[in-house]
Amino acid sequence: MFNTNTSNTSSNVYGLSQKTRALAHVAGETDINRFLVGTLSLREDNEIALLESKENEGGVKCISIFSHPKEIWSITSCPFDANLFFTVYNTGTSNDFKSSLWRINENMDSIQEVFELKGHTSMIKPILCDPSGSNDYIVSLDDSNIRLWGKIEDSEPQCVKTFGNLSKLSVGSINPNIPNQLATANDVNIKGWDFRNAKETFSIDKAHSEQIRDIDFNPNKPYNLLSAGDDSKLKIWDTRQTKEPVKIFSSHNHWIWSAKFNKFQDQLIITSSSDNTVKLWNLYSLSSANNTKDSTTTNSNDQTSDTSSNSSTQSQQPTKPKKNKRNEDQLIKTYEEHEDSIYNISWGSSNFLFASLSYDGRFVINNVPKEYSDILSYI
Amino acid sequence: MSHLVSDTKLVKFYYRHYKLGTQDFCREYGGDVNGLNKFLNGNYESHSARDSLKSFWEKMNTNQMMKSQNEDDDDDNDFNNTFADNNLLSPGRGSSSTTSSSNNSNITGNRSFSSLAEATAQQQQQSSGGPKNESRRVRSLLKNYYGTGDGSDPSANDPLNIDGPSFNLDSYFSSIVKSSSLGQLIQKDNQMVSEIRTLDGDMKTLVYDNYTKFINATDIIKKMKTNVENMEEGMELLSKNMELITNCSEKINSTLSVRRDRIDQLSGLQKLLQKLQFLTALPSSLNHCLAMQAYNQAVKYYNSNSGILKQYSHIPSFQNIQNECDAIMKTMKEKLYERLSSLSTSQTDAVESAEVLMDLLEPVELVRSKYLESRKHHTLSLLNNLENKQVENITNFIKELNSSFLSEYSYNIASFKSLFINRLDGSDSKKERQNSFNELEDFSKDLFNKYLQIAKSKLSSFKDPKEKIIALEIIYSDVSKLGSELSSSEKIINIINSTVHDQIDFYFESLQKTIKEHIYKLNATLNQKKDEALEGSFLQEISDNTSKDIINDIIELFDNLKPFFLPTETKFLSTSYDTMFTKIQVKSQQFFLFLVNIHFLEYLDIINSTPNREQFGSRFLLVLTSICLYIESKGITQVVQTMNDFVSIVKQGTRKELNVFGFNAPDLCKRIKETAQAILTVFTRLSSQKLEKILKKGLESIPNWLVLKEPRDVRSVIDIYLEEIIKLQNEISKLLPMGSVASSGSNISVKSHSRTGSNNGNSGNNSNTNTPDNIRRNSSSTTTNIPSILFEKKQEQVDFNTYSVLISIIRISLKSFVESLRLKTFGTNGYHQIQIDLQFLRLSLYDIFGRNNTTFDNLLQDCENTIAERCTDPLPLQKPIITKIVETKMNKKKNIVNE
Repeated sequence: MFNTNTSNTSSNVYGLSQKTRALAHVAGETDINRFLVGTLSLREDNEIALLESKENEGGVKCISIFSHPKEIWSITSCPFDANLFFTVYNTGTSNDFKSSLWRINENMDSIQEVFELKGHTSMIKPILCDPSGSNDYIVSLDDSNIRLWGKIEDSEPQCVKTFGNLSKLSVGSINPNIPNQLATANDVNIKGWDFRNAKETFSIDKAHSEQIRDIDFNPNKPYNLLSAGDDSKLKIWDTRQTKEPVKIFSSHNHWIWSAKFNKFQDQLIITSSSDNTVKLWNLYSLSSANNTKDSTTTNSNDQTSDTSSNSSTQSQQPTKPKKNKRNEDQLIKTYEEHEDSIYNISWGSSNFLFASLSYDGRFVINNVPKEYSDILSYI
Repeated sequence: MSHLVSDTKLVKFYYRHYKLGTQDFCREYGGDVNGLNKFLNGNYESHSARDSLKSFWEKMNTNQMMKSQNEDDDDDNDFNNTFADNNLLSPGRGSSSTTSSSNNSNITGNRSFSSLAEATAQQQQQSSGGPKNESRRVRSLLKNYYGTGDGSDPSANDPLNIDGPSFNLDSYFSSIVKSSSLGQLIQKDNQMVSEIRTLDGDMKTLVYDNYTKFINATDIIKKMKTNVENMEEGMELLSKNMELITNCSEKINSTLSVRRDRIDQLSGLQKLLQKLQFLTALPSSLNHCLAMQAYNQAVKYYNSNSGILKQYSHIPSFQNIQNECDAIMKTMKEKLYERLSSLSTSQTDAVESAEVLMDLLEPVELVRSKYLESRKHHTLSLLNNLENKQVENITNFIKELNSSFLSEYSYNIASFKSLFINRLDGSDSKKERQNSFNELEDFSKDLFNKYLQIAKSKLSSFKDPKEKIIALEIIYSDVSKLGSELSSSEKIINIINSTVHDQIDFYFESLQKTIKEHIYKLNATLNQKKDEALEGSFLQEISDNTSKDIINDIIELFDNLKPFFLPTETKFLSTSYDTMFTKIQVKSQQFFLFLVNIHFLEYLDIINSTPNREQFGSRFLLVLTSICLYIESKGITQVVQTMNDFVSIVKQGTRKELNVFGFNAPDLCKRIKETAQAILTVFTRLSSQKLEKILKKGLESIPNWLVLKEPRDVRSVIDIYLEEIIKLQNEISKLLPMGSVASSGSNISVKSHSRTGSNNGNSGNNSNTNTPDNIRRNSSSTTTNIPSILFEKKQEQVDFNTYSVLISIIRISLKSFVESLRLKTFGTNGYHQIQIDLQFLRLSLYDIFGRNNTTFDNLLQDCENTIAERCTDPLPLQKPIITKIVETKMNKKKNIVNE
């Protein structure tokens, strides 16, 4: 981690010629930071850029650009194969959304459609892959239904189940720690599902005052879920105690479009917003890093999720023997390289690197500030 | 001179100087004989007798003075003296001389003497003027008779003295014959004859007397003789009996002597057995004592016997007794401890218990702590009772509290001292004593704290500072009386100070509370009134009223604090004015910080991050903003005025230099303004959410924008949107000034222009994609994307006027509208529809904000650009058509308004 990757150097920025919405981290590549970015243009040719940022060298390098038939609303890279990815695209003709699996060919210069996930009628949300990295199933959502698909191979998979029947479904997240658990957001509510038998496991009604734009499970703690949306608030929930959130952050000035836990250091959360900023948060008190506080945190969760208890846990932090600002729940940094709404954001393969993509086609790589990215000090 | 002479002196004087009888005296000096006699015998009733004696005394005194001038007559004085002496001594002499005779004869003897003395005196009186020898002779005769004065007379060996022992008849006779004339001789002869006669008579009487005495004696002797003869027989009988008794006793002695040792032994044994019995009965008696609760007695028994028991503890039965006793004592100890720690135990009982326990040699620490604990409990329960009492009058309550607590407390302290501190004397117990002191201190500290806490809590329920001060004074004086019992008087002052400080704290706390209440009440009213609140100037009124309430509360606080500094009423506090004043200043600074930085902003937190159960709405925030502004513009000056008044009062009170903090009003104003700003920003945000919801719903109400009929009219959602704006304008203008339209948003318009331009440029620019020279392109892309910010990253300042607020609200809502548009795909007709909507919106906003305002133009242009982007076939609708449709709509709307 050299300083070449400081956030303000221009080399960390890549510009695409068209509007962009879709960003995906190539999860199949664990050693290098690769991202797929798709353009969103109704009337012009659309493309997908494969971008790479080397952790030790910095800068953004474009590996390849593939042309894509229609405007891309979302991309999901398959964790089990770096060359496979799903896109959700808009045919434009009759407001018809489609989703297909694509394969990058060996020369890395073009993509080829493997199959289309047929059957969705309305706007399709980002496709969800098995977070454990298997190709056993995928989950797709549209405005009202959730579909579970079978094993992903070369031919179109079988649609195992269709359930949900909700309105204004917006986003979903699969829990990496509890098998078969899926959370979805519809309008202002969050629901938890066991997608194998299509049963509701938990629900958070009126989680936000406005529409929810993103939810994400904590990669290391089975009951922690974040949600963010049009009320500009980032909320952390305990799925066992859904009456009130465990934590609320509010500092964005406009809608939050995307919010993600860091896979390894789950105290780090990034959010992107249509106020043109990316914010990096530290949530030590509820993270898996906070081992000592683990039990007490769950206790406080059990008691109440009132913010007063949150503040009490907060206030307990400084009294810990090792007083460290890393142990305080707070906003770490606001990144202001973007000049349009940032619709997507993603962590890279490296622990502390993340990419953000704004509507005007600007792709920015950023790093967590050094005082928060020193792994050794977390131990 | 005469009247000073006492009666006794008069009598004495009479006897000394008057040589004649009483009758003669009476004839000479007046008065009756009987009275005089009585007077002379000690009954001083007769005035005439006294007067006569006095006149005699005066006369004699004058005579004597003349006499001393004429002649020296020492002998006469001498005579008087001796005569008096004899007279005084005479009764004792008389009685000694007549010891053998009966009592009766003694008295007669006495009488005879006095008559004799009188007789001699008469003789002397008769022979007054005659030679001195005559009287001297008679005196010596008397002296001889009584056996005194032998040899004392200088004329004893004079052969011419007829009464002397060496009297020589021949020389006397010859001297007389030689020296005297015939007449004198004849006279002498006559005199001698009469003297001889008298003497003869006297002798005869004496002889007779002696004779009778002798006869009497012989009679007695005779009687005695017969009696003694009878006695001899008795004596014989007696000696016989005595012999018998001696024999008997000897006999008894000899027979009993064998058993005596045995009896001695037995009686010793019995004593021992009695002792043993007592020992064996000890447990039961102890038990009895226990049952009777006569613990003292039990301890006495036990302590007196435990030595013996211990000494013989090797003997099993003693051992048993000891064990039993110990067990009983143990239970007793337990009972005592129980009693000691029981709440219902009275003070004296507790003291007794502790004393007994100490007598039992229980560890002092244990007893001490137990005692203290129980006393503490007792006192605490007492205090608790008082605490739970409903209080009508604080001073009375404090009096009651003091009387019950302090008496209890001082009793405890005194008893503790006598129990634990004063009983230990000796050098090695110094440490122990110190411990006791420490424990006592802890004890008193705890109780005092509790006491003060109660006093405080009760005080706190009373608002009137004057009553409070009286109550505090009572506390102070009552506590000071205890002065010596606490370690130092400083401590009490500290306690009082802390009470006062707590009082001050309380004032500030309650101020914060009441302010909070005001604000919650305000919110409740707003929630209750809903849209009725918009009628008239209700909002302004409620905002002003609440602000005034808050300001008044602050002023009242200082009013409440004033009495503490009036030296006439609070003399007892005067030493601590300094600290109090500093405290108040610090507190007030903290308070304002609290009010501004924490309290008002707290509502933002509540809205942002908590469930917001109180339902703080946007309107509440608006009113809160207005309250902040009111405080900033008017309130602060009032508060500063009050504070200055307060400071001057304090200065008068202390007459000392005080460390007055400068009150930074401008800074405070700034802070309040900042707070108002923050609140207003949130208000803007909340209000814009309402608007953007309308626009969002409007978009979503049409399921597919690709297939849509040709637009004929403006969508009704725009009407709703505009209505909402009017409502907001109405609401905001109730509280904030209108402001100028042009000032805000002008800079934004510039940015917006550049943005649209750059966007267009961008789309054509970056078509070549896969160039190796990434970095250059990257940098170029950033440069071409000149800041074209529709929505600033940092929240821009919203001014405190209606237009500024409205414009930001509209801006945010339009931004959200753009975001919503971006999510949709439109057909041409849809595009046209939005175009018409936007045009209508534009014209309507002109109506509100004036045509010159370009702020919205750019925002609306952004919307139009976005819709063009998201349109599959963006053929703009011809302007005249748009204008026509919009105009008809405008007219329709105006008609509706007019109707």
